[in-house]
Amino acid sequence: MSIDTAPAARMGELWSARQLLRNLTVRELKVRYKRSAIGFLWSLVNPLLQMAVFSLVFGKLFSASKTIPQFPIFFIVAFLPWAFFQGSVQNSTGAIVGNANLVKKVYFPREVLPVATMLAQFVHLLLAELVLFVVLAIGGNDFLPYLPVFVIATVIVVVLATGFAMLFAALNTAFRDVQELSGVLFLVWFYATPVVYPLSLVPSKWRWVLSLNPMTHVVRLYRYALYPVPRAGGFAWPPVTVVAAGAAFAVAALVLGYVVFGRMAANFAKEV
Amino acid sequence: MAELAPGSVVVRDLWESFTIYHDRPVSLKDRLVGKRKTSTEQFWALKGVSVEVEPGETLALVGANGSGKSTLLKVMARILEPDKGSVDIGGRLAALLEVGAGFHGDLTGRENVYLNASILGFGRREVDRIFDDIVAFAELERFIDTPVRTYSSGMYVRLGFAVAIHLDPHILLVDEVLAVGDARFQARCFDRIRALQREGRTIIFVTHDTDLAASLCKRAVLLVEGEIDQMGPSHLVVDRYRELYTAEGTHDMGHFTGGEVHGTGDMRLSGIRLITEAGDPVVKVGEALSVTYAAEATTEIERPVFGLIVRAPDGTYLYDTNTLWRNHDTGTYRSGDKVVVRFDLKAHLLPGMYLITVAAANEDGRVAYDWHTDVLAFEVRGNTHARGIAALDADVTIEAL
Repeated sequence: MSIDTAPAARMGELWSARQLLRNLTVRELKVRYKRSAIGFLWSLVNPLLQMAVFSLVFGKLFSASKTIPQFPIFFIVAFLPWAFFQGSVQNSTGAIVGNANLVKKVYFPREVLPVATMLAQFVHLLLAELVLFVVLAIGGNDFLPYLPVFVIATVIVVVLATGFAMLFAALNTAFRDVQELSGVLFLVWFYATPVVYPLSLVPSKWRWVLSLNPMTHVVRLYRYALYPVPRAGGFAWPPVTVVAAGAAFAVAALVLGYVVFGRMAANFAKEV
Repeated sequence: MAELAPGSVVVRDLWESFTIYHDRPVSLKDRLVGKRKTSTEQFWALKGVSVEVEPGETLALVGANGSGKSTLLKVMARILEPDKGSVDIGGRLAALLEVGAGFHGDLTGRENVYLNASILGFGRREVDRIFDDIVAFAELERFIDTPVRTYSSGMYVRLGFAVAIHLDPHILLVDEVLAVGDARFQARCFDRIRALQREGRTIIFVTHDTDLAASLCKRAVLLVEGEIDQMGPSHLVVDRYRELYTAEGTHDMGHFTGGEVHGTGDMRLSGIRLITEAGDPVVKVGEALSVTYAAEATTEIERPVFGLIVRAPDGTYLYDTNTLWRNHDTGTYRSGDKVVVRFDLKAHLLPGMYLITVAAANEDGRVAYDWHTDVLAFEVRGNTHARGIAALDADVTIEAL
């Protein structure tokens, strides 16, 4: 075995580190709620509280609920993947730096750290989505036939989040400014994504700007899958262009993140 | 390339460098206006090192602080990537560079054992098989389902060591971590290491303890400033090491070269001198000696801390004192103010060579203004009929009963 950073070798290593990946993911999940009273329920309570606040502020105060039926559902369907994405990337930003003791003392494929962070967030996402499914079913929404759209959207957002998580984790080792910047960056990014408003509200000459935001496509796919209301006759299949754009961004982000991470990983032990 | 036999390590012409940042702390304001005093310097920790280790061999890496031995171990463990040269490893390798790396305080001992093992590259089923042995070795049966944050430091270390030493790598790298736990636990660790040797595992370890190096392995490597000074039978290498770092082998006694200097420069130390009765840097056991230096402030400073550290050549900390711990008010300085600091000591040390570090630091001792590591060397001579470091002046009496 030679020191080898060829992509195939790295992938193979990542596979052989799956136990570690699993353990680190479990560590992240366990440790997070270890000493809180309601523990895991926080992964459900948090989005619910966000939904309540945004429904109150946008739905009632800005009267968005007049033009957008079922505003809370409209919001939460888009917010859950957004929260997953933001959580994965922001928590991963400190994944290498925050595990300096490990990075300096043990060798393992460094990709494991941001990927485990992403996976922990993914568990939260799935739990929240399950609850959302139950709520939708009780409300009489027949979203089941459109489940493939949900699956596709979820695959896209996972790939996208993994790419950005690796990118941010790597860049932060050389420039700690990434950590400082990410707060504001994600605030802007959140409002540049049609989470609290529909894309149709954006003047059509500006929509191309939003279409450069990968999360726009993710959020639209999730609405196609789970939010039936504005389309006459309930659910509809999304245009192929949305799927294609989302998938293209996701793959591009993964490649970028993977390459940058791979280039910088050699210096992690010296930088942290 | 042909696969190496499991347990062998081949290091070829290895070069490894670090970038040293000379970075003085800056305020937020300075940062905002872009005033940042950073300069960098390339430091070569390894300069063309080649070593071959046979399967089943135990090899010791010895050398003074900063000689590159830990860096070499880290490159072998793949934690650092070589700038030049190659490292080839046959079979599976586990590095024990820190006991319990990755332990998380909120997880139980059991959870941490599995986590730690997977970090070292071992799967759940492998750990299942040896779990009971690990717990028994660490003597933590009663506490294994308690969060490790409630462990004493001894318990923590025992568990970390037990995990690493029960996994079954072809090659085990160990960095100076054997000096942990109580004497009884240490003895058991050595028993275990000898058992690994008998089983034919390759063990490479870094140590300051030359006696240990000579007793545990046949072959040793002495690194001096990133290069192999000598490689061969461990007793010869250990002799060479002692020769290099004790009096006879060191020529420039007053100023020991190779000492590292760092600090912000808010205060500058100069004229660092050793004063002895005889005039040369040699004292008898128990005799007085003094260290003086001039300290000049280059900016406004309140209550700087002046300190002195005595170490053995292998890095062992012997004595560390400073004006902060002594509640000595050192006063206020304006730029250009200069004082002479003097430490009077008694050499309650056994014959050998010792190194002195002097420093000036800020008020709470956290920021070094000017730090001169191992800047002076002195030799203690005499016959004490003892071995070790401290001159404890034993009297032996034997009475017939």
